[in-house]
Amino acid sequence: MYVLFFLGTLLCLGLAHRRIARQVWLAGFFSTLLAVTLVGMPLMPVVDMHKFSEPNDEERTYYEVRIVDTAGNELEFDDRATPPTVGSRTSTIAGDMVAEYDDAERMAMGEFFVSNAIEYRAEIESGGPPVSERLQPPRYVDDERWTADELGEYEAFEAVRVYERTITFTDDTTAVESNTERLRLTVDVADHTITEHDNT
Amino acid sequence: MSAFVNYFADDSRSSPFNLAVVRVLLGAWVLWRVVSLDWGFYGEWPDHHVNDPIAYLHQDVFFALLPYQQWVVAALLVSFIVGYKIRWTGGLASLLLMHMLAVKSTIYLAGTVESLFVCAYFILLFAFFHEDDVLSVDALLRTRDRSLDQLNAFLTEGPNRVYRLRALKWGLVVVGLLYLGAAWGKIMNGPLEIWLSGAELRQDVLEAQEVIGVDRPLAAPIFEFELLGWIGFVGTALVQLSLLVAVLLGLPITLSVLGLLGFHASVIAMLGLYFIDMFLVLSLFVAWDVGYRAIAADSNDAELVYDDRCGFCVRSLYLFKHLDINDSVRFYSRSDVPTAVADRDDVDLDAGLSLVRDGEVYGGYEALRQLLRQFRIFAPLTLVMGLSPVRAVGHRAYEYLARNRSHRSVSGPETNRS
Repeated sequence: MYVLFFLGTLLCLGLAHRRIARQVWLAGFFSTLLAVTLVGMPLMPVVDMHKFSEPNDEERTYYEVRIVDTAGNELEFDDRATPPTVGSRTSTIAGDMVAEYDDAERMAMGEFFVSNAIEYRAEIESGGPPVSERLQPPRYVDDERWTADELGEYEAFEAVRVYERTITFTDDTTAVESNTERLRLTVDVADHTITEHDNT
Repeated sequence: MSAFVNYFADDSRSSPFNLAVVRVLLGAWVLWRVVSLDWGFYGEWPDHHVNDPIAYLHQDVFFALLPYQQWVVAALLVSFIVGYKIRWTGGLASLLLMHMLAVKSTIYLAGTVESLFVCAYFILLFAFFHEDDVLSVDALLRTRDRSLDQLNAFLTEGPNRVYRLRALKWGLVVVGLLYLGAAWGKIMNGPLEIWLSGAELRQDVLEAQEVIGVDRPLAAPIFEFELLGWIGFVGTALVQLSLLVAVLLGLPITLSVLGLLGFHASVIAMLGLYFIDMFLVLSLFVAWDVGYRAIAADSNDAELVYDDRCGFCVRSLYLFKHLDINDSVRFYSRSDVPTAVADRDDVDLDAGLSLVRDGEVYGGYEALRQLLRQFRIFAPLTLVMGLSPVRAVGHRAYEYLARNRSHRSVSGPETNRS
């Protein structure tokens, strides 16, 4: 289907001076777009925009990745180190690290986070990010970025920890009642060890 | 007069201005996005982390090509923006971009990516209806296929020109369908009372504040007034559904679009910079030509005399005729100048171009500058053209072209015969 879309579009473009070619393409494209919209699942390269459309549980759970230095200090991961993800996607990945991945996959993901955090840290500590980055479109998640001052308080990064956080709300949903954290996983890249924490 | 145009109800306008504005806005925005993204990094993600339904797109070779495709798309977009070979530069830029976005989506299909897909669909529609876009390099090049007589007839003809803007007609349906999906998704996925209570909205806002760690004072009212949560859902669903309904029924879309802009502004106030690309997408349906008509209306009528046997001159004036939204310029060929103008001592018909406005006569380079000034939107350019050094160079360049204009004839059928 994916390849067919591109080949079909190229063919119709080549014949675009013929009305029938345009009509065929429009009919095919809009039928697909309508189906994708009604079903709510993209059929690449045709997408839907069902956003914030699934009701959540009254209790919300998300996973937080923290970078750990050689002294054991923790720092919440800055997603700018691993584009294109932002917090919600990093949370999904961290959740998969806890519940889905095998140890090899956990280690690979841990190494990925640590190595890129080290690289990103070096960029910040050397005065970055580059000026050209200021000309880029703003991120849609406006979380705080790491600063050189903040990073100066940390030793070398060597591990990641995944925390499970649970948010509960007051009955009238006008305020957060609690936000608790539970350590679920440590991937120590330096020691090449993985520790599951069961601290219920 | 509507601020936003329902092109589905009527895809014709008296000016091609909107199509050119949209092409430039859209192309520039996508270009900015494409060159800003870190395409080279995406291939570094571990292979086991993919969106399963599109895992077949998570191929090393696709990721390896992304940083190169980025610059190919950028080059194609620059051509698209100026309107050069729109069918292929736009078509290929759109298809390549869709593929790049699809590959990127194997890591993360965010709203930003979906918005860029929408922009890519628009560019593709421009490619399919490329001949509608007459304020483009393509249109200028197409004048080579027309005879001198045809071009002169076009320049000297009266008002009542009609332009079709079919890319915007179908683009509007795309946007209408996507917003329909945004409302439909909620109806499909959850019992309506969950949304109507406003609890889901309040929890989303509280969760975002908690996770991101940013306090948003503008969101405070939805916690103080329960009714706002209900209004937030019902109002959003209404404007999202109403756009497609208005489009298909041929009704004005201004209220729907303003409602959607309000919805996006409130999302930004409560959650952050989500869906900012949709401001650009919705702005594509602004009646830009209405604003342009009002700006250009400040100019008094002018009479322009040009050399109708000089193909280069005639072709050069082609875009100005399309830009003349208020029909404020009367184009006279040198062989058909009205006596009132021809008898004036200060009009030099051999100067190539002469412009008369408010009793003042401008010739040569200055006539060209005043012609640009007539349309107001080129004000910065005419200011620069009026600076002494630029004017000196401009005069020389103009004189060179005017001296040699007899050699710059069109190669159309009429000229070849004569």
